[in-house]
Amino acid sequence: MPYFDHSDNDVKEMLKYLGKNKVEELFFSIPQELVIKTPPIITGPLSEQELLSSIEDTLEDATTYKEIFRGAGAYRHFIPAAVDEISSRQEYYTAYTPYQPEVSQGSLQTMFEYQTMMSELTGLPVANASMYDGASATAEAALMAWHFNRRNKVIISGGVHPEYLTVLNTYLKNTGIKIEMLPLKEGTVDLQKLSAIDMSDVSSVIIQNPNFLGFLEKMKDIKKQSGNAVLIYVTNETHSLAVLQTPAEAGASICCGDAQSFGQPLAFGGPYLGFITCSEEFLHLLPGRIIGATYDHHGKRAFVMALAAREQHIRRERATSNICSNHAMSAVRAAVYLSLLGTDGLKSAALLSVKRAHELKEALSTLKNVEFIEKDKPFFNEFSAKLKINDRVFSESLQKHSILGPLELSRFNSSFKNYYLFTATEMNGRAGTELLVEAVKEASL
Amino acid sequence: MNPNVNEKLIFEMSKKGRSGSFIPECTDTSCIPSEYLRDKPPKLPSVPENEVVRHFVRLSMLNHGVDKGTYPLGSCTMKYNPKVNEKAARFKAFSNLHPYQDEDSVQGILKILYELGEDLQAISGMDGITLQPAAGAHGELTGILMCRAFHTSNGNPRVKILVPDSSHGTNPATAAMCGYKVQTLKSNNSGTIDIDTLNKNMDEDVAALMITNPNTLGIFENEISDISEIVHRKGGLLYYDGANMNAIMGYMRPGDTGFDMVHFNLHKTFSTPHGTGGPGAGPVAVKKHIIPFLPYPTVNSTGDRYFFDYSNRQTSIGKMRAFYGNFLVLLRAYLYIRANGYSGLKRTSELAVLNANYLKKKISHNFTAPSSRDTFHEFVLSAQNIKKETGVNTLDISKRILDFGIHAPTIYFPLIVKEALMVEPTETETKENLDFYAEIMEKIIAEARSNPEELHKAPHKTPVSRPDEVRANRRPILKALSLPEKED
Repeated sequence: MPYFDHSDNDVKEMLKYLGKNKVEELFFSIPQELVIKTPPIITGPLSEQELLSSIEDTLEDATTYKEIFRGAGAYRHFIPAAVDEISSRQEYYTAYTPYQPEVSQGSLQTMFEYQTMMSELTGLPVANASMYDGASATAEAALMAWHFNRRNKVIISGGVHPEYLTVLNTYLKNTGIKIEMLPLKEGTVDLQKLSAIDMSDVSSVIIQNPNFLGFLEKMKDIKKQSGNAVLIYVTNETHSLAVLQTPAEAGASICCGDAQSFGQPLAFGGPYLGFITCSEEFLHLLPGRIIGATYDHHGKRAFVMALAAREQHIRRERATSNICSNHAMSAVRAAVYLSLLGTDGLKSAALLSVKRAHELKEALSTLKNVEFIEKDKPFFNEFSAKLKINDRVFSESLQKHSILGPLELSRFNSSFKNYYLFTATEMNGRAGTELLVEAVKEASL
Repeated sequence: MNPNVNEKLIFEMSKKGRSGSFIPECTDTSCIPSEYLRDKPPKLPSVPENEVVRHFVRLSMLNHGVDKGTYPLGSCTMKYNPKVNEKAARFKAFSNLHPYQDEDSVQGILKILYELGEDLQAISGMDGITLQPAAGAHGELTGILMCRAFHTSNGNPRVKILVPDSSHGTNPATAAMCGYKVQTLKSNNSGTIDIDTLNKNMDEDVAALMITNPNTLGIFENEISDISEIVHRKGGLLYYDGANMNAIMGYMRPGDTGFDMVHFNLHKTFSTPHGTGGPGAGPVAVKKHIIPFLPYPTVNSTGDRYFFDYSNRQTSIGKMRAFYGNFLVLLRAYLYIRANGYSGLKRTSELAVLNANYLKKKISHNFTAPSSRDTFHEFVLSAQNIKKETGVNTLDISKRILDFGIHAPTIYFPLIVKEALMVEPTETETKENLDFYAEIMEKIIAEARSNPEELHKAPHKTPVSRPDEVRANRRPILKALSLPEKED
């Protein structure tokens, strides 16, 4: 046991105090036949030195890339050094859920500030203190809408991240809610088809913007065709909130998604930062922790977990969600990230990502073996194209230049063979773009 | 820091034109048609880097964490978070990996995930595992969805889930999310499952019984073999809530005692930081007959190559989240297990149980105990006697504890114990720390008798005292008011 042990003498004294001779006696209420006879084999114990050297060996089998042109719900952005510095503070990361507000004002105020920032970005008045990730937050948002209007149908755009759709299916499977997919037309929501749907039994309409293929959706038009179903706006690249019409302006009453782009590293997919914001009528259906401001008994401003009566530890089976632990530390990182960048910094990051993606598309458009999907539709920092390339040649030349290339969409749907999703952020320089374009050219069939 | 002055909100420190330089400036919106753009920019703070850092450093200092002092929050296992794990989790080689990289480029990462899965199965005595769930409650949801899929595949999803009245709130909330009715079982006088009650409620409508063992009172359900027999005889499944796994490592494996599914709270037993509320990780290990229903993909190995296994896609419950799991949390748990080895994990549980029993004996004479049974890694006491005698209640006691630079126990849980104090010191506290905790408790009980008024007003030395929660609920203020206007 490397991190702590009692001295032999302490153990002896403590046992004596308890009237026991051996530690094993403390476990006597486990029936003898259930006690482990043969210990299972697991590696260890290892000293800290051995541990680190083993992990360094393992890391030789993991490739990190200089240039990443892959996103699809996980984006590499610049993270200011101060974000890591603050989130390394034990005062934050070794604390738990602020059950005792008197010794948790740091966490509570930070969450309150985070909620304010998410509310500002989405235009919706209420934000919670985080969810697990974008996919599970989307499923929870659909459940909020269902608890709100008790209608048994969800319309989801075919432009929502395929993994989000899978998770939605998993969450809703046993609720009796029917999920109806609205296929895209020419890369975006098919407004005509949407308008043909009878909305009277539709609980929510779930749209991702920018959508999974990178295109911008006409959110106000979608709202018009959604009747009085709840419009759920799912963000994709969350930086877009700094620039695009807000979910509130678009008429959404719930916004959710993954705020990974706000200061969370890629980290092979987690932990990220699920979030939900909503209009006030959904406040009591919002899952998870919500931090509120109040006063203490000396009249001093203070923060507490508010409206806990919504939650599982009080409401048990009548709670609208079972969430307990959330992703608070990711929210701390987001709060620091957004405070450092400010409005202008965040806009710069977002617009640079947009610019880099458009430059990349422009450069690719000179090639004969690239065929864009809907080449004239507005997009954010992702776009998709069909490439006529030799896969092996392509991947070898990317590898040579330490580039993680665009994502093959056949991963999600075999009918998308040879289609790729390109992503750029402010991290992609001109040189990397040129190398990628060169690689596409070289691999031409 | 002057304790009488609030730390300003970051928005209150904001002034136009103050900002850092992190990213090259770009204001070019020409790529996006104007109808798609927002009307007004968001009002984020405009504060220079040094002031941002000072703000969050000052805020952080208002917190109590494990690295500052004892944190015996029952059911939460607030143990020390080893620093080597923090160091490794910050390696660039981990943080820069994209989840959609090709498997060949992340063999080392898949190896870590695979081996962690193998270790957790060995520790719990199970046959298969998913690492996807992001937290304990997320693991429960995964488990009960699998339970439902299992029964459905046998022709009938069944209608009810049984939970003891001492269970965590997440158990019944999870069951409800999966479309089940919840039947609560009243515990017997010693705080454990009453076999007669179970027998009466267990029928072929019951999909599963969810329990923790030891239970939330810290008591081992020693009739577990009978419980398992009763549940399985009617075709039900037995679910193990792993919140209390820190009590039994090296002594008992849920898989050997009839459990079909187990979730782990890696942020409890396996030392990953609690992070002011998360992220944690809640892997779920299962017996063979549940493997077809595991979320896809799982991580598998051919012996010399590691890969994501989608082979159960047709029968799987689907996915619980995007990508594969909270990798940086899983990594820390992996390192913790290897640093300890099996012998270290066994020692962990031994000292956790020793510490809890020692502290219990030191302080219990002041309180009433809801059960006379032996306890494991945590214990529950009731302050009902103190309340009756002095008017000082559990809340008062817990608030006063904060004045001594240590954290209060979990209070008013489990719900079956009035004026409950639920104490879990964990193994990473010295005898001196436990003695100090006991001393403080004596002092507070003496104060309750001599000066109860002071306790009603406690705490006295914390940055704030007794925030008005009723007001926060009646008039919710959930974001900063009157944000400074940003001038264009």
